[in-house]
Amino acid sequence: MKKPLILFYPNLPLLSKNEMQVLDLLIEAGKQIVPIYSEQEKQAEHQFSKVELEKAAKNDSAILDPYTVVEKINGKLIATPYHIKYAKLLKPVADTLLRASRLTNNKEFGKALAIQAKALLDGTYDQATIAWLKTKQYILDISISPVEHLDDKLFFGKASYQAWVGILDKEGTERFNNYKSITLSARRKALMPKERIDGHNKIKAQVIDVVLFSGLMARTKFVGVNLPVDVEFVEKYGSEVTLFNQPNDLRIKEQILPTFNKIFSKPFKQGFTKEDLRRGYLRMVALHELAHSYLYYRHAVQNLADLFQSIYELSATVLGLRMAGYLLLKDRITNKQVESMIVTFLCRSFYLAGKGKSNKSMVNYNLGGAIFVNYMLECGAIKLKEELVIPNFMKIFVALHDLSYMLEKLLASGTRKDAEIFVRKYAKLNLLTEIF
Amino acid sequence: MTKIRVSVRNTKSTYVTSKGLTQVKTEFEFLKKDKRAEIAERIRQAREYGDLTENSEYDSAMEDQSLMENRIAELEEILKSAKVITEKHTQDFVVIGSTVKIEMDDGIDEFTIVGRVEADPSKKRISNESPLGMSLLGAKKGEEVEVTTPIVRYKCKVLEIR
Repeated sequence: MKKPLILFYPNLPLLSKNEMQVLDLLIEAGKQIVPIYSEQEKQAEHQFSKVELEKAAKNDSAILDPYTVVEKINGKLIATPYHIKYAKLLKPVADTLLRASRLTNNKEFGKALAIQAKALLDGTYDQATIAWLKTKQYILDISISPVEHLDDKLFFGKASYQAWVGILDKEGTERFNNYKSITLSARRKALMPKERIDGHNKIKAQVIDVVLFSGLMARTKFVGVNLPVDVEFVEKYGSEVTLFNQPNDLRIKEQILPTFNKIFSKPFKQGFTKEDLRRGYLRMVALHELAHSYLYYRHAVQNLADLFQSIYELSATVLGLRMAGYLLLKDRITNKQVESMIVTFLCRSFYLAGKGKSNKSMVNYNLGGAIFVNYMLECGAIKLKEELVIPNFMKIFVALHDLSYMLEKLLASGTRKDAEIFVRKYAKLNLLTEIF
Repeated sequence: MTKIRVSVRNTKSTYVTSKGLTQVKTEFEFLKKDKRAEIAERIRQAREYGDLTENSEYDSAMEDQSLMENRIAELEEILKSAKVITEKHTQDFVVIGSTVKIEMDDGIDEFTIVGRVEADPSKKRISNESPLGMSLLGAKKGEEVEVTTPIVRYKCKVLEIR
């Protein structure tokens, strides 16, 4: 299997000697995540069933903790915390972070690095997250921790090690914060106000020129993230949305452009430049990540269980596209820019539901892509003709409204059974496999 | 009843507050007097480095000059067509200068409608030439208007006018 590490080479702004030295150490720490994540990938092959696991969890709650490894030893399931299981591999990472912490001229950044190093060694991950949320934006940026819950379908709750290292894109960050101010200043009604946590008042937003992705990030190649995901944590401490420039370019090259060239007619394609698509996709991701802050429903994770992630992610994309309509009405973006966002998400959905099916880290997104395409087809918002996709943007906007309502209702008050019925109805892949 | 308003941009007048007009005049004077001279000096100095085909200083100064001249032309147009909005305005219906509270697309929003020169949606100042601004002008409290673009159509209810 390919090494879970991607190095990017962005044009860097002028950095001081100290910043350059610290950056080198951060890159080194990021690379040291690779063997840990590789271990996790090996351990994803389980020797026990989900039923066995849930039975054992009744006697030992640590079995379902996101930060434990579960193994069958002498016929019994044993949970070992990550920081103990991977202690040998984590020590060099923490040492490198501590060296960077001592070297940097930015005291606040240094302090957060030291707290992060400690968290890797003793499992105090929440303390590290709080420290980063409190730290002011700085030219250097790193995230290095087990965070996302994507790889392990059996547990659907185990965190994977990942890291990114990058440089703050000041202009991009300014533009992103401008979008944030416009879209989050309107008070959106909640379907169940008592269930929803208002997360939109404490959001940090940044755009990063990426130097390194490792671990899970190298597998998913995310263009944006909104962390942390725990709603009660967000309610107390807020969240941070990060967009990644170079992974966006990679996504355009690997997924969006090839799919765009395949599924649309020549006259339609002539209406969009590569730059329209590049910016359109980044905008779509930006609004998707911001939309998350309107979708923090207190019991959604418990209620929807393993189907939560698919519903939650698609719901954010659909709401994000609706929010783009709002930017359009306020003259902040143009019709063409909104169309570019929709076109790139259609490409992404067709890609995920077709070629992207083999990436096991993206199962939740594949499902979301299939639901989106099938729903748009059912509403007549897109049509398939001679293996080409014909979108009707006006109808798409109407369909977005209805789909958004259904998805948010599932998050607000749906059960696992409700979600399953919805997914069974819309996540059929037969129509899509005709194209791929 | 939903009122349908056709979105046509008014190119005759550019609405500004007296404060906005002062800002436009100040920028116009600064660009014409100080900035023009500064860039001309940069171009003169860059020429002295020789070989204009591979002279990045010269290219950069020429680009800045082009951007500045475009901005001067834009400000000149604004000053020619400027129409100053009175500070006091009616609350019976929406006019340029009104602060409105609206309900639209499952959300409640509040903003002031201003001329395009002073528009900044991130600071809750919406241009009178935007689809939303155009549709709201003339609407009364309680009235529902339709805001349309070629791809988006929303109903928007006026809750308050200040």
